[in-house]
Amino acid sequence: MIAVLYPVVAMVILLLQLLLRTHRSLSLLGVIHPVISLIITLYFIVSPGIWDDSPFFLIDHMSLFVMLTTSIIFAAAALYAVGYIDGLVRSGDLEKRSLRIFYFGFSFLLAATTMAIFTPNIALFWICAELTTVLSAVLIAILALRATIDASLKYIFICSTSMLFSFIGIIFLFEAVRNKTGVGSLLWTEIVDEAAGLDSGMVFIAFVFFFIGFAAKSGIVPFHTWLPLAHAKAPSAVSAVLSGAILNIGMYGILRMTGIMKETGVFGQVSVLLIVFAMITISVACLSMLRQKKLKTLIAFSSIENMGFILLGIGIGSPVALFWALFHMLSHSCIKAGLFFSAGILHRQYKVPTRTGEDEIGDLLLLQPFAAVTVMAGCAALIGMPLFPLFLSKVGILLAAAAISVWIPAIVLLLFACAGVALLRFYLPVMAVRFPAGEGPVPYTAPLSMKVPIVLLLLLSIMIGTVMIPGEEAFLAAAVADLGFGVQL
Amino acid sequence: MILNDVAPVWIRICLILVLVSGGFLLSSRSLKNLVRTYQFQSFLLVLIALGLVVLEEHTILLLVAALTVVSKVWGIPACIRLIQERIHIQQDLKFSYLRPPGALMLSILIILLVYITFAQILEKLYAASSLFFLGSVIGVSLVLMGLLAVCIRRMAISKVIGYLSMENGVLAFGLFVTELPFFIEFVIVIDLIILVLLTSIMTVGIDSSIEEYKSRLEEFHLLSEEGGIA
Repeated sequence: MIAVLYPVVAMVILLLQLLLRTHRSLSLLGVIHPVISLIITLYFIVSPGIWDDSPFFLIDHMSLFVMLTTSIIFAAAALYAVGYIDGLVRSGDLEKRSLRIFYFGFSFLLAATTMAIFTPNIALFWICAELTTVLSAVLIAILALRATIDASLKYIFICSTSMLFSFIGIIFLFEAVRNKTGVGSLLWTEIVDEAAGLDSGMVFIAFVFFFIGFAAKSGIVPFHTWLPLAHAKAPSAVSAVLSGAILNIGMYGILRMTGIMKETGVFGQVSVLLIVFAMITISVACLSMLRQKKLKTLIAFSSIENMGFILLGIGIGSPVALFWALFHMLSHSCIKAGLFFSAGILHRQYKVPTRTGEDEIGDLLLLQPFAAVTVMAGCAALIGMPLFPLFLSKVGILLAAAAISVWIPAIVLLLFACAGVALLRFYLPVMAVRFPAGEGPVPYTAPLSMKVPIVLLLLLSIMIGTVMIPGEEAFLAAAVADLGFGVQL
Repeated sequence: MILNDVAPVWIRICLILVLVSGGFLLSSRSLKNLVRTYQFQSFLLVLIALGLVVLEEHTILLLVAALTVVSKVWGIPACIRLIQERIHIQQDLKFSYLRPPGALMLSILIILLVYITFAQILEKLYAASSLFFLGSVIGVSLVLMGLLAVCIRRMAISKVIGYLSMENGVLAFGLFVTELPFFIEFVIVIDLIILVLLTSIMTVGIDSSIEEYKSRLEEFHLLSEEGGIA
């Protein structure tokens, strides 16, 4: 019952955040929470013997893998927030009275995400996922600006209305199990056990409805319209968490549900549905990236593209594709969070975009050499350059896709080329811009706490892109097997 | 015994009225009427829950009915009225994509489409006259009509009512899967949290200067076309 430490730690942290008043103590608690979550998760990963059959927690390779990604991103974002939020308060962008709301919301978001990952009950999963929407919306709107409130409202309306469809899907799934066994069930494991004999029509409806909600949560086209706005307008620490951790919750739901469908007679239709949505998502995202003139919006569209690519891996449905989809999820989270952090430093330096909607960036290497280099590295990683992990997962999924049709990798490669062009077309000219002598802004000195997480995430990305950590392959294969997709690689 | 015979008819009548109220939410221009309709729709769900108590003797549905009365028939409408009073808005005249007559025609098509689709998929398991089938068709139709309201309405406050109507559709469907009462209860709680959040976001400008507040209202389309507060 070590898993009970997750909610206990969360409750203690939340309580302390209500009691303590100073900014320093609030930000310290904000860091402690994800770090403890990371330690507990790592302890679970290295000690499979302590995973018990608790009725309150679903501890398996899959849930631990998603939790590992989540806690890494939250820990990095909390560390980054120490300097970043302090800067926002000093510059008057964030009111002091909003500090407690920010840190409380941040910790509560981690708690809700953790519960969503570990709950064995599909209904509780839905509730926790809804809670993450509400809490994310609070964090997006924290600056209380017109644009952030607008983005937050759009996020709530699109995600919450879509999630209601998922609710209907869950009711259908419950009823399908009840029709077979006489007693309905909402437990992931029980539904998987009973999936083989469920009525195919009913489970297909259940999947379609469920997919609508969680596709919206993970930014799949056509439910993606909230994402570029929300990720671009939110403070960078929040954008990183949204892109690196919260989008994964939607994917986690789709992964688990697809695992159930694998056992039913409708997996073929489900696979086609997922591949079609994945291709549409990648196409729309990559082509939209070509038009973007703001760095954060560009990165946000890249998140949509990568979610589409993970969905493609899920849709292919082979153990190899699933393996690389999970690998892609972890890699994308690390790279994207690092990129949003770097973009945050640039935003602090250059503040407001011009009236034409373009970022007015100049003297980049002179004013912000650190951010310039890390953004460049992040863009290279997103394009899928060797040394970075996305190279491996892109090759892995595309090879698996070729087994279905060679047209899939051909089209996706073409679209990836568009995304690469979009990133280079934005970044290379920006590097060359020079402000007239004496007209440039005063250099912004980013505190160490903002730089350390970027470096750590980049190093982690390079590490997982170049060496297989001992046990990593076996762990990911076991996570794929947990979903019901076999272990042969 | 008489109650057992009357209950299915009672439930069917209420379900039809729920759909009618969904149509009214699409076409009404008065915000007061919108809230009243939502209140009426929620009350119909209470009546359906009571009918199911008679029919299936699941007393837990009484709790669901009580919660619905407290939250949806009384609490949420009172909260929305409070917001309306604070921002002095009486009417919602702006629509996107579709005007009310078009929206009503589309909603009829939606109902037919849902009926035909579900009839084909669920025919092996349920008779077309079964309450589960009817509940699923009307519940899902109401959700889609609510979604239509969210899409075509331009004021944030009307969109909220559209969302709440969607949630009523899920509740209408969920009531017929009687092993799920706690599930429904949670939805109500989540619903309230979202509403409180939306309320606070919408009223965030009250602490600001009057000009700033007006510009924020404009952002949420809470100002009339003439520029004054409607």
